Amino acid sequence: MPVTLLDNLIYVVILAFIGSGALLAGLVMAVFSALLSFWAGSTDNSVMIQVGRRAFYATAAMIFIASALLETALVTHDFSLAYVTEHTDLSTPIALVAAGFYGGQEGSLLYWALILGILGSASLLASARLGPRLAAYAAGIMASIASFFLVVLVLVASPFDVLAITPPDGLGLNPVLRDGGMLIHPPVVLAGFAAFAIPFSFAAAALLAGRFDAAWIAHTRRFALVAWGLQSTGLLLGMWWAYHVLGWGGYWGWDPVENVAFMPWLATTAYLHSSQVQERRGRLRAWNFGLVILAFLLVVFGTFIVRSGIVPSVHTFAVSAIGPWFLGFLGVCLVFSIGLLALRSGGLHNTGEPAPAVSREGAFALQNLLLIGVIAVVFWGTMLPLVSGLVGQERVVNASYYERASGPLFAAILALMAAGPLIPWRHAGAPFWRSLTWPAAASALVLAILLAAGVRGLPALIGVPLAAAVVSTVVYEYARGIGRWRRAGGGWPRAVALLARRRRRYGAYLAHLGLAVVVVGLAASHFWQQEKDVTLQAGQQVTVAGYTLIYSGAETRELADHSELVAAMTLGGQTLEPARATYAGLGGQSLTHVAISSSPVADVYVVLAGTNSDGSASFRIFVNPLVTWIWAGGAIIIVGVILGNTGRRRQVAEPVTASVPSAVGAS
Amino acid sequence: MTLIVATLLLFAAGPFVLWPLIKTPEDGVEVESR
Amino acid sequence: MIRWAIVMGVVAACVGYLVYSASGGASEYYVTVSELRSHQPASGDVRVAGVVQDDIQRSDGGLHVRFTEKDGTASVVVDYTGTLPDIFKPGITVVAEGRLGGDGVFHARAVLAKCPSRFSTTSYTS
Repeated sequence: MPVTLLDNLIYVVILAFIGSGALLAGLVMAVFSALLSFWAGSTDNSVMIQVGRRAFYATAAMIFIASALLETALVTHDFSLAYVTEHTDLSTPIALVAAGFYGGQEGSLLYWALILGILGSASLLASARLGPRLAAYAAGIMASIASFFLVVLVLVASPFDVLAITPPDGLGLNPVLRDGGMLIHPPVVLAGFAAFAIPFSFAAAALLAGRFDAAWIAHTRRFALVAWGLQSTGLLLGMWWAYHVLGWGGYWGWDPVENVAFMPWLATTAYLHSSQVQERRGRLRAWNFGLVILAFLLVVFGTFIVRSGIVPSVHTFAVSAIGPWFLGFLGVCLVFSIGLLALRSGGLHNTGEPAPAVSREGAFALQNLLLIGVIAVVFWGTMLPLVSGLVGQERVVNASYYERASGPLFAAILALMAAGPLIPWRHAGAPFWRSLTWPAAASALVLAILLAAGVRGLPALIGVPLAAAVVSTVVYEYARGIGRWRRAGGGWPRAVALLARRRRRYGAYLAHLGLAVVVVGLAASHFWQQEKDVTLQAGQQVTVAGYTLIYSGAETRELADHSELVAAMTLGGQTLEPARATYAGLGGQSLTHVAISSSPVADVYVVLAGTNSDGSASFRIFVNPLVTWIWAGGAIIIVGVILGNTGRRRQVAEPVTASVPSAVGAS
Repeated sequence: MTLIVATLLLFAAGPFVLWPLIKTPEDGVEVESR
Repeated sequence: MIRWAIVMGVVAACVGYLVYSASGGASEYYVTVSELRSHQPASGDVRVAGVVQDDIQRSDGGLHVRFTEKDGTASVVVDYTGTLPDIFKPGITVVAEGRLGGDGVFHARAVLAKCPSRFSTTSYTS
């Protein structure tokens, strides 16, 4: 036996050393790539530019090796690694063990670096045709970002720290985290953030190289769209997980951690739209550079907030050692970005004729302002505790602040979404105003229905009709497109084929439709939620919002590591079993298992509060209308993004722009 | 140990990274590669 | 260009107004238990954070609970009706949102607990 123990020790120790060695090698390679790429780009040394790019690929390979080793260690239960011990145990299902890779501090940093390495390499593969200098600077910036993460991984938060004595079992996951949501929500959110480093790097590279044309936008459009899709999915998955697992009947609490994931999404949304103006007409350049930089800075800012614990949140984050590092990184990115913008401000002014206010370009510009307004609202609410705490008594905002401050802005954005696709790029004439009658009619119809149904809340009366207007515009555009192609002859097959040819546009419309569906779901489940607390004896029933639930009894079930108090209820023909699990091994911590009966109309959401000595059981029951619309809308958004992302790039039809004449020259 | 592994990995990656320098340029025209 | 500046100014003013008016009625003080008695404002809710003590009393099948929240040397009894977060048990930190009543009991409208940490630096010492 001692022999195999020694063998195991050697095997495991070797794995940890190879892993940390790979990280160190990756760091060296990343720094080398960054320095060489910047130098080679500035001196136009094309051989060295290639070497610098290859060094980035090698960095990505090192990160990949380290990742593979960490995953191997997790899946084979190598408890000699502190990370494996802290986040898994022998009883944890293997899927959650594998998910431990991104579940902890150190692993999630490595995951971030992995995504950056993979997507960054992909973006560099075809980048040479952008012009060697632009490609070189992009490689340099991405290598610099990778260097930061690798420095933190090597010096401060290594996933390969070895324990002095290998424990027989790990600490395991808290029961609240043992859920499918934990498998997919974190990696999607993190990937959405890391993916946006690519558009940022190319934008900053373009500024550095004095390139004010839209080449960098066209090249990174797919990555920006992927980032947006991942961020959208990540937000929806987080909401879904909170709704199904946390048992408070809602899905969004305006908690700082949620807010800092929301703000980059807003900036990315603005950028995706605004960048089209630059691709088409060479305008809004300053906006686009600004938005890309803002989105990335918000990502870094969010990462800092989440991991530093400086803002009170219901998410516990110990004031960890890496907080100051991320603050420093944020500072560096801020100074670098502002400096770049200031340096190159000369080249950012718009050329060409400004479009009239009522035009597609005007609509996109207004959208930028409104979305930045929302970011400002959310940012203020998130930072108020910190700011107020510094100058006096600490204050926090509650949820109604966010709703009251951002609600009107969101309403304006919805109106813009309904009118925007219809506005022509240049002069908006009579045909445009005529086409507005469709969304106006849809809004009026829905408004009338709501009023007739007795709805009186102003936010719902504004939000839902506007969402209907967005839907009607999408339908109108699809119908117009199909009708146009059919008139061109060839009937349905040709019409579909020609629609497919303009996938980028119709995919985007589909995403709009999905978003409108989400908005309706959010409005209904938020404003028209009904709630009831009730204590029932076995056999008694309760009616909430027209749904009748009969309580039949409760029983206690003993399982391997916990006992479950399960209440049986019937709703129509369905059985619901809300439960409370108690984990004796964790100091008696209890876990709610919410019972949800979903239908397209509403969710009946039952929480078991507990049982009483007289045999009765107490429940909190919610009826949440149209929650399924939120998830369905999200699925539609994903389809739209995928569809739109497979579309061919439009011809970059913009006026030839003069680069800033500088001592360095442009590529 | 970590340093040894790191050094080994860097040496292994060397040829790939430095390939554009190592390969013979063709008649002074530098081939633009990936 | 001037037109642009005007539009941006208008939007910024609207946003500023929205933020100002919305935070007026919707922000709360975030206090420690020791500050609670001295810092409670005349109206509006207050958030107070503290560690749950051992004397949890539940009734109504778990829908009603009374517990003591302590922070440093000061403690206050919290009275709350509703479902509690799963992680609620003695020793955890909670944030109660509500008002201190004339009876010296904090009547909470909401009780929030900190989620189990994904990013904690609890290190395993063997």
